Amino acid sequence: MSDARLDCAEALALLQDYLKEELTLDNQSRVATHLAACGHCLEHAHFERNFLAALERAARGVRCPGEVAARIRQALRSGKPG
Amino acid sequence: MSSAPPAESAFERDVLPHLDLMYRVALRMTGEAANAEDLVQDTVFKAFRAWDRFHQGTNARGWLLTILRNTFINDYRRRRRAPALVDIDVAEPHRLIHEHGGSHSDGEFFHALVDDRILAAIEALPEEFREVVVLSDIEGLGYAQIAETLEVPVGTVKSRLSRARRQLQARLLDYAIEAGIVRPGQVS
Repeated sequence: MSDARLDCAEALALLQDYLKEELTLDNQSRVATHLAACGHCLEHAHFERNFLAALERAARGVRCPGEVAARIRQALRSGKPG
Repeated sequence: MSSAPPAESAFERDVLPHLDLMYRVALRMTGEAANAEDLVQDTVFKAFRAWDRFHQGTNARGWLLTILRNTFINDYRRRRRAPALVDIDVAEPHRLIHEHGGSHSDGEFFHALVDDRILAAIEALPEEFREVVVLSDIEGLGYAQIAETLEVPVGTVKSRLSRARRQLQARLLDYAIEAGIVRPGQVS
């Protein structure tokens, strides 16, 4: 079973989970094998990878405001938060 | 005689490193900074009161996210200013671009979108899609961890993610066309 080749529809169905490294090792390598041999699916993989990278980047700079963190710390130190 | 700074408690050591994560998730769920700040504070205080029920050495991040989510559902959900859009069926965006011979089918255009546009598109997703995208694709949690936080099967996480990402791609493609990054002739 683990030797079975994926067709394009099967590979595309697994593509996002492949990029998130959420497949079994078997399936990770089956998708990789398919992508190495199929230009169309490889391009689709670039599309999904660029999409996921843009999401990952979008909120990277967002931090809990310093005064909120300070207020929370202070309340915890007082021993009676909330 | 100078006194040493108060020793950091185990609670502070385990919980405070997750403030930024909690804030980002709270911001996407509530849609407003003021509510997100309150939600983070409520979450930390609830966690503080429940600290004796937390199993030391286990995953504080997941525990905090579960508290945050329950607090959101109980106290904040109805305060959201705009109702999220309903689940809609959209065509698969990559196929749409590809079939019309677009030169954007490698998805490079996603990188030309400003962050605020991407975050606004996430906020417009239905809540159950929004939360999986935020946890998986913004915060980088694994599917199993998300399933545990949301108390749903991993298969549910996967199917929600798949639908959420497709909707998001369709919306971002629309933005890219509006912004002139992708020319409409190359898509439709």
